[in-house]
Amino acid sequence: MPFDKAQDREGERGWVREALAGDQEAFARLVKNYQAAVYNLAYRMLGNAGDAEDAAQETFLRAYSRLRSYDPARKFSSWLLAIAAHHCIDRLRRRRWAISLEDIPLGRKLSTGRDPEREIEREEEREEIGRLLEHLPPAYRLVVILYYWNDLSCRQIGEVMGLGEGAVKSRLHRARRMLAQGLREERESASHRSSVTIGEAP
Amino acid sequence: MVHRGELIPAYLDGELVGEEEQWLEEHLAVCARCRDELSDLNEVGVLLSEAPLFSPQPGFTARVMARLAQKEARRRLTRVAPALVAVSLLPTFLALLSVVGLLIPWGGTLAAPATLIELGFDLLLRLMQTGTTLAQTCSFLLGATLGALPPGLLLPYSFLMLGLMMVWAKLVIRAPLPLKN
Repeated sequence: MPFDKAQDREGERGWVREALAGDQEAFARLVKNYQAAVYNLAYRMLGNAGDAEDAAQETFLRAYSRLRSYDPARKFSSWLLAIAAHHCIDRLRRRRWAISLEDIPLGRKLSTGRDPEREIEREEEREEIGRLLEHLPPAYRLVVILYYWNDLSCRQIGEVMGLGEGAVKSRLHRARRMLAQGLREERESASHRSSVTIGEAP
Repeated sequence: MVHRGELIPAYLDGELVGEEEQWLEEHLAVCARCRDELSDLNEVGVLLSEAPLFSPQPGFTARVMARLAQKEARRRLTRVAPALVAVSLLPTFLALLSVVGLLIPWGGTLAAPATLIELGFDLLLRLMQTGTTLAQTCSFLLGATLGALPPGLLLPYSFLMLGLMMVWAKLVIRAPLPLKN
């Protein structure tokens, strides 16, 4: 993450000040710096590129109009990610009434088990964990995303979601457990599939 | 007493110290279930921290800034719009009243308004009279303006006024606007 150093955070505060004074260039710099963090959160929450792009844009527009309410004592990224998180949750809520085609999980890619290379397997598992993540309840998914991709501490995640640190920790743990369970099931069915394939082969 | 396995999450996050850590490790040495759980959870953590960060298509910043500019322009327009609507509605309202006043040749007010309906009538009549007077004043001013101008200058004068109004509107729209709270 950028701006861990005090010096950089000072520069970032300057950008916020300049943007507040009406300097669009300064705001553009903030967008450039945080686009990946916000976009990744939106993508992992919403599950497709179109919605992620739109939600990420909307997050920055909202941040711009609410810039006055930003407290410079807080980390800018936590403040921004809170806006992104709430926007994504809102979208998911609205989606329950209008399910788009993209929300229906696509058929899982069959792992053939023929390629013995560990690295490819590993890559598949990384994709697998991303897919499994999509099946978690949004509140759990959000905790995982903020913890692993945005490097927020449990206390900071608590601030974003309006929860206590303990509640965040227990959610994080339960999310990990659900993912571990999913991964285990996936592996079992994959090995079952590959054994069937081998059995059918002449 | 807590089951020792419940310490696994804290152990994973490196939060256990000394006695507790030792206590859990002793348990792990004998409990295969907890060992499996620890290794599964650990793997999930590793996979998640290795998973890629999705980035937007190039040009994201430009797209955001374009939408921002659009939004700002709309916001300025909404600030000017009520004033423009009010300015254009006022003469319309007055003209309407005076037309009604002219159509009904009914001058005086009722002698003593007794009921609420009569009071309403009275009020309406007064408004009509005011409207008529205003219309007369307007037509007088208009006549005076037209009379003061040499006939050939009327068109250039109208264009000048129109141009000035456009410049004014442009200035209002382009003036820097402070951010909303």
